[in-house]
Amino acid sequence: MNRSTLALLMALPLLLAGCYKDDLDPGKLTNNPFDPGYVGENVFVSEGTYTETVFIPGVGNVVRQVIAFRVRRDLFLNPSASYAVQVHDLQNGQTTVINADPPGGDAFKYYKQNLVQGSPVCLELRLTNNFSVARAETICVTL
Amino acid sequence: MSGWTGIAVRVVQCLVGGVLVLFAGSAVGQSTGTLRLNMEPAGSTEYVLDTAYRMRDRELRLLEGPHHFVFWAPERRMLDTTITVVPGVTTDVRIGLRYSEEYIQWRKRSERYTTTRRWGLYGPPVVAAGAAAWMVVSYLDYRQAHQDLVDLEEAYAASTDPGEIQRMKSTGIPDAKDDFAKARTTTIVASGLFVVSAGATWYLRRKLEESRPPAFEDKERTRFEGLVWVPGQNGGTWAAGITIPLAR
Repeated sequence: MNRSTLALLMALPLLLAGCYKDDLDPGKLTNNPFDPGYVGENVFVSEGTYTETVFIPGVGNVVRQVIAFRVRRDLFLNPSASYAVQVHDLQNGQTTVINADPPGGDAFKYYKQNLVQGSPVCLELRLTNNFSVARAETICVTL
Repeated sequence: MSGWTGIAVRVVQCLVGGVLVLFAGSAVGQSTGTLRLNMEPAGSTEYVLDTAYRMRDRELRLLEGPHHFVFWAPERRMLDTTITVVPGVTTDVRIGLRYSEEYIQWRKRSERYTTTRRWGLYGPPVVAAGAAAWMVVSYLDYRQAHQDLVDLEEAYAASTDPGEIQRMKSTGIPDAKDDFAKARTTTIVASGLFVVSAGATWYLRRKLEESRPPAFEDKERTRFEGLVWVPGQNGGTWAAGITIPLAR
């Protein structure tokens, strides 16, 4: 074994030791919409508001406000993600978790009983799974 | 004439008788004894008898009286002594020769050389083999630690659980980064140790190939063989030796 081969063999482990890099920075991981620290485009898109009348047995016809919004699945890093949305009504302080309507899609409807014409309704929306919530976004609509 | 002749014959008879009596007296004064030498080491001890005869016999028949002996064996110190032979008796003599100072020193140097050679030959390769094993294990750990980071990055992308993502970012990823840094340091240290020990193995092997064991110079032999008579079948030869201390 000549000297150059020996030197190469001896340098090989050191080269191997330096071949892996640690490029993972938790501070830079911000592109998952389910991350509470998500930094990126808004996930929720308002689709407007309107009223509808429903018949409730024993009560009769009730008029309620429907606030429709949509979740941008195209922003998800995992396209097959299933989720729910936590809605926090900033007017009355109530928080509820709603599922897609129709189920399996990305369209959601939030129903509000006490509707006020011309008054803006603001909702704080978050994606949610396993009782934990992602970044909050606010949408406001007016009848 | 016959009377004178008779007187002459008587005188001659008296003289011969006197001489015979004298010789007989002398023969009685030169009686012998036997020495049986039990020498240690048994097979290789030689001796010089009465500063003249180099011999190895174990049993000697000698004239009565004191005899000078110088005993010697390879690697042993000479023993210079006088043994008195008792007439008509077999005397057992036990001779034990001590190791010479040169031999003791040579043995120490030899043992040191053997120990050094043994450590030089087997120590670094054993360390190198251990370091190589450690390097392989730590490299596998290092690779696994890197794979853990890759997996965490993929898990971040795949996760839809905000709580899990938060835990991942606050503890999972920092812990994995620490593990990765430690694994990399360990791999570098193990690799360095392997490189050093492999280099030492190569270097020491070359040095040991060039080294020679210490030689033993039996100075006692030179002194013993300095000037002795070596009896043989056809007489004998004089052997002479000289030691020149060149080191001085």
